[in-house]
Amino acid sequence: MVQIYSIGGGKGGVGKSFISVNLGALLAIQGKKVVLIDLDLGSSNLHTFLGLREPKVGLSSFLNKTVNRLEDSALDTCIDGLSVICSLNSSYASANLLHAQKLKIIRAIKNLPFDYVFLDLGAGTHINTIDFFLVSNEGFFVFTPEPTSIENTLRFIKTVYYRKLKSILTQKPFNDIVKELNQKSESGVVKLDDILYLVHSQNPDRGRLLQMELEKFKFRFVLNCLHKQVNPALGSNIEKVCNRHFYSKFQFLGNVSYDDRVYQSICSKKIFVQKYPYTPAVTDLKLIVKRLTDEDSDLPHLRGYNEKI
Amino acid sequence: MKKFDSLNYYELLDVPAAATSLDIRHGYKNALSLYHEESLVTYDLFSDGERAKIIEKIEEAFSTLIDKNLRAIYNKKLAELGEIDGSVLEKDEKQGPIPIFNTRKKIYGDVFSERIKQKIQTKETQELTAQILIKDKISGADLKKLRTVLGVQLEDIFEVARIQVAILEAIEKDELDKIPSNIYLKNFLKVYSKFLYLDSEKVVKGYLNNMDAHEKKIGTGSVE
Repeated sequence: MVQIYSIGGGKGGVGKSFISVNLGALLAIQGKKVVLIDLDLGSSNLHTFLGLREPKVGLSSFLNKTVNRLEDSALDTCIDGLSVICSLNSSYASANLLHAQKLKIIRAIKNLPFDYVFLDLGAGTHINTIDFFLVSNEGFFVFTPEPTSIENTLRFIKTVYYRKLKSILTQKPFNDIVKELNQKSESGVVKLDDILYLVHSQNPDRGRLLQMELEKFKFRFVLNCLHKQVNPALGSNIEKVCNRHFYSKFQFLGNVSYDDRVYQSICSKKIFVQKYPYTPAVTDLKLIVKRLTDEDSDLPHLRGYNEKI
Repeated sequence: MKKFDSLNYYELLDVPAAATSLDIRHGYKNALSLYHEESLVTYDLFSDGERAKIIEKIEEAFSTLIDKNLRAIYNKKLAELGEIDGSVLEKDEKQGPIPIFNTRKKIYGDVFSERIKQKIQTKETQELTAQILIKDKISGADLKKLRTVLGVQLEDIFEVARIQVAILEAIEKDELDKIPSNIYLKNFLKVYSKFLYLDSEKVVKGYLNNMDAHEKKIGTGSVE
């Protein structure tokens, strides 16, 4: 079964692509079949991280039916077992994906013949980004220890959570509650807590069901660019607070320490873990991969609900 | 997983139910640092209103847990709800303040002298002390006899008075060559007799007389 990880984070420049490329590379070196998908539509650059110039095929070839299967649009990279599906860089209108196209991509992603799929998402909380994020229940947030990044990440989490909530609520048992919510929302913005409270108070059984659905969700954090002067407990503190205030599970995977050589590896268009394999940052990344693979066996798989979106 | 509202005060401050007041202070400080306005961790997670409510709850948790009486009442409530183990409460009540400046020496000495006081009031020992004090010469053996009747170990005296056991033994055995010079001896005898509730002046006088007699004996013996 394919394991899909979506990598988001709200803010741009925090290292989403860097983390996806390097985690993917580490898994491929371990002998896994990994594919990276550039879903940062409109401003894609994953191929540059991998040193590929002007990719011939990509997502666009799949959408305009030059290739039949999504896996045929994958390109090999300098690491065995690591493939990449580049974004649609041919058309300038491609950032605005049609709903049907989006569904087509999501369906194809779920049937990819790979061990691991990394979805590299763009910044912001555009609905396409959120929906691609929700392709898997295994969300990855990359953030840096700055207020701006944390602000955007928390906003992103809230948006994802809200979208998820809405997708659960559109299912049959919640129809009447949704009706009532729609009446209420005319007067103002409906807050997350209000929805949960409303469902709980009207029908405790359904409230519990809703809670269970949200609990199946699992979010992970990676704290990138950790400078020495930052408290290394920041990540675990965020994990603690989020676990208290959301129903879903949050897990802090680890810090990636700041390294000037990351800049050099990007400039030379080489993969960081390959160019500088013995740096502290790579050790950090390896630890994150280990934490990921160690628990693969007991992951909750809940893909049915994402079909609805 | 619990929603924030359902957290009890201990969970809120992230301390165990058996936490000491120091732990609680630490937990309070940490909780405040998480939810503080300037905190990086919860930046933009809450509106100002929500944040104020959370901080208020933390303050409430802290002021309850840090107050001994309020905490006991709260613990009872939690134990009834089954959220914490009742056995923790009993332990809490038994736990008294730990004296920092009371050394073991003092506590030990008090208990020790209390024990002797009780024994010394019995007829048998009173007669024995009277017999010893009447004598002109008091030997180490006399002192030892009284000491064993009272059930005092040499180690007990050492614990409190810090006189070496070897010296005490030498005094009791009248080993003149091991006994320290008179000025120390007098003091040691004073302390020793205080332990056995004897008149220290009489003991010192009697013991020195006894020593003199011994020395003369040895002196004359060596001449012969």
